[in-house]
Amino acid sequence: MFGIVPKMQQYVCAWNFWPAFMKRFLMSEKGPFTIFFWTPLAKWGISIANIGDMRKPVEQVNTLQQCVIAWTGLLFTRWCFIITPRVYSLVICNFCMAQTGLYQLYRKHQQGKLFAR
Amino acid sequence: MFWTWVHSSTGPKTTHFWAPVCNWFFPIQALYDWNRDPAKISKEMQCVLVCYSSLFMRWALRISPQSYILFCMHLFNATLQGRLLIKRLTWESSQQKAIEDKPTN
Repeated sequence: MFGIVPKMQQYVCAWNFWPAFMKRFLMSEKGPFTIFFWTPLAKWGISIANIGDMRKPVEQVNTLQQCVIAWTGLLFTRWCFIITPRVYSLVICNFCMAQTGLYQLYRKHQQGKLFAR
Repeated sequence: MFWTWVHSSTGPKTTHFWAPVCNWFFPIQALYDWNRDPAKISKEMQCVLVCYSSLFMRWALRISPQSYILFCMHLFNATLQGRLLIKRLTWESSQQKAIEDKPTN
């Protein structure tokens, strides 16, 4: 938008010690200076945050939020199979998101607090 | 025209339609939890959802074709989840302040 990131990319890629494969990665159109690299990581962040929240008491787990996470995870797992190109890493990411959501809901159900606000 | 859309390859009989619709449940959930007790808000999950939506706002404008509906959805989500995050952080700092101000016997 302000042209900052392309300037950063040019500055970093100008360093002499990068091996060729690293430079190719940094300059690629799905590399770390583009949004296409960071969005799947953000989606993994949801699964990782859920795994971290498994240590917390179930009162801090939001039932509706976990339902939404599980449902969107499952639906996007299916969606990833019907789009082209098929990206299996995204399939795994969405599947993990759904599994962590379902496990959190199971934890709440075990303690009888599934519908507690 | 309506029935053409219903039976189309990206219509309501396909996952192509329902997957983005389900994404809207994120901001709807944040609206439903408008008055949620801050002790029951998970700080880490809210941080992740704010980052997730901020990144996807940019992504929605960089993909081809651009998706303004997805952009709006993530804009609402980032704002509403951010509101819950701020609520939690404010509560935590007030709890911390209450502990510090407590007179020691």
